Amino acid sequence: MRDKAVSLPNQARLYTLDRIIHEPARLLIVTHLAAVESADFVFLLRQTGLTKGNLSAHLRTLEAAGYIEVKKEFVERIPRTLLRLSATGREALKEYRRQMKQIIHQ
Amino acid sequence: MESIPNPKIIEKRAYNVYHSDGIFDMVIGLTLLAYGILNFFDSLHPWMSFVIAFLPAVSVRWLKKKITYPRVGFVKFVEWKSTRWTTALIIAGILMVMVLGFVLLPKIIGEPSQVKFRLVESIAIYSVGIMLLGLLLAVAYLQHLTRLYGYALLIAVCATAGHLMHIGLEYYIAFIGAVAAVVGIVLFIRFLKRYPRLEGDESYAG
Repeated sequence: MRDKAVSLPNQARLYTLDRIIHEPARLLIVTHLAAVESADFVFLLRQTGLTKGNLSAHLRTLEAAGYIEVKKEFVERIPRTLLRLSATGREALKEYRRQMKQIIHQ
Repeated sequence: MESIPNPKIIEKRAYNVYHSDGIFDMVIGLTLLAYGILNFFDSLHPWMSFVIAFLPAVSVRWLKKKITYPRVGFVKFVEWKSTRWTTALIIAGILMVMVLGFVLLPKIIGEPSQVKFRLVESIAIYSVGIMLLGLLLAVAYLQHLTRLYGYALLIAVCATAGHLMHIGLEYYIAFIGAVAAVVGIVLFIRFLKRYPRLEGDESYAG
């Protein structure tokens, strides 16, 4: 992208990208969740380096889009929120990666 | 955009973070050290061996839950990690059966002559060493835990040196244990500094 100018057909492709995933912080969250079966809030906080507020906001957006599933549970009376990528989210990430590869390589 | 995060790299990194706490090294190291010292003083009772053998399994789990999870969070890795663990456990099981077979074989087939028994005994000792080394290398490879290769090398060097210089088993068990414990303590301190416990509400309130 840095070396080559984006050609016109690719430019059009850019507009079709999934905006929910295209946002860098959300892409980071989704990719982390794609790499594991499920993870809790602290894990994402540590791995992504986002602030608590920022992470919560992005998780709400992803949850609203149906890309992540949230399960709340208690472990020894301590609340734990487990997050996992839904089938829709996994498919959306796959599609996003495919589109990005096409844009880069064409 | 070359910065699309690669899930495989992320998974590997996340997995390594979990094993950078040094708990496993520390517990195994201290266990071996205790085993070596107790053996040295000839005060190792059978029930102690039983406790020492089970102590790491229980304490590693407990320490992970109390120290690691609150600091780096809880994560469940995808199925293939469990499969690798299962493979490692199956290999360990087969090796244990083979080791027991070697040790018990002379007793099962009857009382052999003194020379025969010594021969079988020395074969069994070498086999145990080689199998333990093989197990360590298998776990290192299957679990991508590179520092286990270091331990495998240390065991090989200590066992060979111990054999050539006629050093008692308890000395090199204690030495290997001390090295592992020191490595574990260093990793543990580094882990605590790098990942302090998070304060306040740590859960997603979505």
